[in-house]
Amino acid sequence: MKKWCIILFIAVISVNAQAQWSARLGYNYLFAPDWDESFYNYNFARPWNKKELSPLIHGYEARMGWIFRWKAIKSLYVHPQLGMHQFTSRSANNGEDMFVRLRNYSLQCDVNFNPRALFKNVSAGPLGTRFHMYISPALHLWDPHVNKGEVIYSDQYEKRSEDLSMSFSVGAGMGYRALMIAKKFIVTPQVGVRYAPNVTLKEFPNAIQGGNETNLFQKAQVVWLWETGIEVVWIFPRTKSGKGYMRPCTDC
Amino acid sequence: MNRKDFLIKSLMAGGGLALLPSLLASCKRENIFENSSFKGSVGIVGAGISGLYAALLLKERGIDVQIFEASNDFGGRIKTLEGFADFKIELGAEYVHGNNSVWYDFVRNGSNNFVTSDLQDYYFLNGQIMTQTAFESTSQYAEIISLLDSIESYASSDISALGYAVLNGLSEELIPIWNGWVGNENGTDISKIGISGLSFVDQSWVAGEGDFLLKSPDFKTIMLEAFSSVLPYVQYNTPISHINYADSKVKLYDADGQEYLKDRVIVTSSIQVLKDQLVTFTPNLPPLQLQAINSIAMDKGLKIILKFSEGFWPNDLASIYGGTVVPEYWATGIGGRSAQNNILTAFVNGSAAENLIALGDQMIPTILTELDGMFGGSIASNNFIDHRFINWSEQEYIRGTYSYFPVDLSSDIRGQLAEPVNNKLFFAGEASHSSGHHGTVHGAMEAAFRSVKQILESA
Repeated sequence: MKKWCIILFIAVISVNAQAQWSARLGYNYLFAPDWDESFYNYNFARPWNKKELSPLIHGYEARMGWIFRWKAIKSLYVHPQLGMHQFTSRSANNGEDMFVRLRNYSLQCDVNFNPRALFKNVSAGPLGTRFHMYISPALHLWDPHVNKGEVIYSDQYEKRSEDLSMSFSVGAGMGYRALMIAKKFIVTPQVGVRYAPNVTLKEFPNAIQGGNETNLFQKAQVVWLWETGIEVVWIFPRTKSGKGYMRPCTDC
Repeated sequence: MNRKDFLIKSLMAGGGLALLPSLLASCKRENIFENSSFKGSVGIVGAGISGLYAALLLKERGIDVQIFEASNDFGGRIKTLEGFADFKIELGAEYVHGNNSVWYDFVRNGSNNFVTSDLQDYYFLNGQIMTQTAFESTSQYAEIISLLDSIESYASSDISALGYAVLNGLSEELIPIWNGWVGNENGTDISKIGISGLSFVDQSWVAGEGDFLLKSPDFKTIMLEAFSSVLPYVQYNTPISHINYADSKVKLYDADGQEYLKDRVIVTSSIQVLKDQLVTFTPNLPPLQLQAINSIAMDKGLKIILKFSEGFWPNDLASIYGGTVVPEYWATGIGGRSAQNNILTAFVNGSAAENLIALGDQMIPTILTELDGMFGGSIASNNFIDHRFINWSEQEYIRGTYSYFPVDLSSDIRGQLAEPVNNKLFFAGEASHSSGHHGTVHGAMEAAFRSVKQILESA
């Protein structure tokens, strides 16, 4: 175990020597019809509730990663990232305080490129061309949490669902390296979409709607995730002079 | 782009991003509850929890409903005994099983007055009463709990719960407890209920943990308030005896031959009422439904309410298992513990219920003798004041307690009953619940929800 920790540490140090750190905060729009259905079922089944439980739609994300130059002349960059996406919904009524939170932790590996640069030489900055597109395969760990926020008996377990599930997704999008700050940070707005074809959360829909008679039990869900965010990349000073990389190019 | 341009464009982009959530939210996601084009009329047979709940959901969508109740009261297997003690007593459903169900939310919306004391079960074993804690320290507990836990993964050919216990060498003295846990609890006894059906329930149960008991009010009072918008549409003393769904409109006929025309009909009658053909159909029901009706089982069942001058049982008593005359006794609510109102409920299903019914006048002395044997001397007999009981199999329009899976019955059978017939006839009620919550109030409500959804989708 100790040996692996040392190897990992050396790997991280060596990565720092060649890569740019990135951080991103963003807004996510979730589209998962069967999960939506469990919220509609919940609301329709409880007409006595004054406040409805809204489906999980709007969420946020936070990511950290490194950008590697793969092949500069073609402006191909590899961008592994660790991320966390979160969606919540809550409705407090005279029966219960229902709280739903869906997190997914992602390990994704974006490949950034500029379509023009694939076919001809263009000048590029430290992170490639200003305009870029990306494709992004990812692994996700889905972590749903459904809680009523109420305990009647001292030994009562109040949580309804906490089933973890892994899934695969692929994403695509585009970004624009818009601004360099103090020759150290590059600010990049990005938009994209992600498609996860097979997410199965065994208990989640039934934990929301309370019951499984509408056959949502164990049903695999196709998830679409629209993502937009601002990425900030910290440019390492890699030259002996310490001046760092040049500004992003303006003609590409 | 210079810095000024960037800042201007960033502000514009930021503004756009700020508007994005509301823009996306305005792309309304479709759901059947808002988009159904069904506007017809619905007749509902039965004013139990399933029928009333279906009516409530349909009325919420602005759909006309008429509920036909054979008896002179609503509630079905939810029934209240008044005047016997200084609190009301549930003669039918009494516990809320699990906190993750629409029934729990329904009750919770109507009352916050649950029993919150930590109660424990007691066991009559080897000639003595022991606490749950004491029982858990015995090797016999390990033996019976491991057998209970093994049910969920059972995958061989079906066998009765009694046969399963014998096959696995369960000690003979544990059989009455086993009967209380898996036979009586499920509306029958261990000689009739199948392990495969129990396994299906264990695997499918998503209603959560815990059994909840109300101090007050009673369930009927909560229903009276919650269903106030649909109770005026209940037509009492109107047993529907025939349903003709051959034409575009469904025709319902009551016992007097009165005809009612509806676009859709939900039948919530108990499975025994359908078995006994108190309601007939034209054309005959499809073979799948008939097979389901004929094979889903429902047994005789009793609830006997016993009043004593002294509460000779422990203060933290929830239930007592291990009786051979009565598989389960419980202390009725926290209100039943006052000096003036010491009430025990005897809950008996299946063969034990048949045996007690056959005893006639000797039923109560036999129960008191068993309680004397449990608690010593003649303490039960000497303190006994009075009793009331309900024989659910003698309720003309119910005819039993609740449904269960007999040996060799496929777990798919209830799904067959739940299938719409010609998109005009729909079955609800606990017996039609296809995914493990049959035999419960929340199962009856979920089945009603399903049938309402089927109707909305049928347009």
